[in-house]
Amino acid sequence: MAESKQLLALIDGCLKGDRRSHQAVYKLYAGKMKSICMRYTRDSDQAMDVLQEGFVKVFQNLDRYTGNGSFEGWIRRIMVNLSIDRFRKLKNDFLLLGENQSLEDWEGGIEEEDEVEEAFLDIRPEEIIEAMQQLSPAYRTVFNLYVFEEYTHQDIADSLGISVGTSKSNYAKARKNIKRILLKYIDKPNEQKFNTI
Amino acid sequence: MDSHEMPVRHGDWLDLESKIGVGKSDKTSWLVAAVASALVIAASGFMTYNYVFKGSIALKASSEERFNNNTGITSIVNQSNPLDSETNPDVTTAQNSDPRSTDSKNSPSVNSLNNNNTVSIDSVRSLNSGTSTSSTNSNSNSTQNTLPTKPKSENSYDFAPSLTNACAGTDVEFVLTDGPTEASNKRSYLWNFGDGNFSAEQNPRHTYTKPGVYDISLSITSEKGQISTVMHDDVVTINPAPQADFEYEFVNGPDQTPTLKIVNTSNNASSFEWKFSDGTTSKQISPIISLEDKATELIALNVVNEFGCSSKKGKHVYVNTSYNINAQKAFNPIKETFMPEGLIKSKFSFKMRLYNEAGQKVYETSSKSKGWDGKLPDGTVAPVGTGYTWIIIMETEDGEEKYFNGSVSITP
Repeated sequence: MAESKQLLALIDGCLKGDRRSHQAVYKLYAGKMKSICMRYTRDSDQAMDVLQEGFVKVFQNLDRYTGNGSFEGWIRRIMVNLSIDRFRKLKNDFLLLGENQSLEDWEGGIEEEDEVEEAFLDIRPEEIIEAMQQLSPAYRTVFNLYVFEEYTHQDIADSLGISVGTSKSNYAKARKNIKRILLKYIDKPNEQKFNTI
Repeated sequence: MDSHEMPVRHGDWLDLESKIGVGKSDKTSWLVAAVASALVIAASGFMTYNYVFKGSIALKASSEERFNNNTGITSIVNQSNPLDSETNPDVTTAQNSDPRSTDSKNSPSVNSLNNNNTVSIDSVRSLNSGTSTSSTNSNSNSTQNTLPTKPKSENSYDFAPSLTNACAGTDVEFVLTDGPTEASNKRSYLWNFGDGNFSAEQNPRHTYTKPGVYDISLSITSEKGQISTVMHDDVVTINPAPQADFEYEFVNGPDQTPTLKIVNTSNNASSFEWKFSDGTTSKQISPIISLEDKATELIALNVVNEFGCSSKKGKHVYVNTSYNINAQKAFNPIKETFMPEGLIKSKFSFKMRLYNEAGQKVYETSSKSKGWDGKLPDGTVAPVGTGYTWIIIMETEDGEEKYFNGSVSITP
């Protein structure tokens, strides 16, 4: 997929140091990239940190963009890789992460037999982002990579420095927790109103 | 999800711009005079740009507001700006070649000048409190103009909310848009959210629960014990949020299709959208729905009000009866045909067969519109008083077959 001439001209402008081109590229992609960064972080403060650091990298390494693949995909990969780096740093800071996660698992609540399909509920992207921000960094990162970046569990294990098993269980737990957060507006099925005929 | 975008402020670009350093010329060390003038041009070009960009935001402020006292403030601000942008770039470029000497000589004076400006603007604004929201705009305009080019002075602060218009119950984040960004334990913050709540965090999050228009102030005590206060009026507008809720009851009699009467008990909502487990939807306020089978059904309600604020509620409903085919016990072939009501309402395909008392098939159909008209295979009409047995095989969505049977008699 080759990018449009206009975009390539913008990239060229950036490489020549043109301020307007930089700004145009930023304005084109910052919104989408912020949405991605939000999913990897706890709040918009952290997301902005990643976003800005990511764009600094984008502009510094622009000469490495070959023009063959999607430019948006290229920027996106920079953001995702930064988020992975960030996670790895976090992981080193808190060695317990990964082992201590059961603490945050929800206790009780709706059973997994809940057959509600996500599609039925019409969930807005903002709600998903909000739900993801409530997860621990370990759950959040794995969920992002598996669902949105379509990494395999092996890829995730390799890039985050965790085991495949941890990746799988983190994904399953993240999914379960997100579902619970998204479905909290639904009354738990305890109040049984039977149709007595 | 992939194409979702979040709002990014112009200030964020300015912040990034200062990090990547585009637009700053490397040739500055060659010709100081030429560079100084070039920078003035660049700075004024930048300001013009910034003015235009901010202008689009300031459009919110009505023209009437532009001619009130704030115009005076804006002009003070704008007058002070060329000064900032002329002197400050000199400082920054000088830093490139000779950081120490110029920095120590020039920037303190620039900073103190700056401080005075900001403080006076702020105090004027707080005196002027209650004039209009445009004071916010003109102020952020002034601070952002100077933001990327000058080294941040210690006592110049400003802040912005993540949302200026929000629904009650939504988190609003406040971030410093000007002032030192690096953390310091010696600096303390006191935010007044205007609704009786306070925070001492640097970038706090606050949930407004009551609708209203709020003034926000931030007092910062610096390392040296200096207290600066920045105050903005009418910064955040909180709109009332609706509250979705409903009750329901079964209103069908015995032998009838389970029918649910839903009573909408939502507050502050102007439009309603219902979703049911079978995928159907309704926009009625209080719909009546019929359910088909023994199951747990989910009813979800999403309500929206005139401000675009929304609320959701979901409930599980248990249907304890099996699918009710609702077949007639008797029918008059002259007036009607035999076709159970449950089949007419059903979306599933079916086969219906009728047998006489001898067990011979007298009729077969798989079409809702072709009920039995009482005609026997020999062309005669079934006599009054005779009884027939019916069998229905229904194929449900998961490919499962359901059987129903019963009997019907002919009435005069």
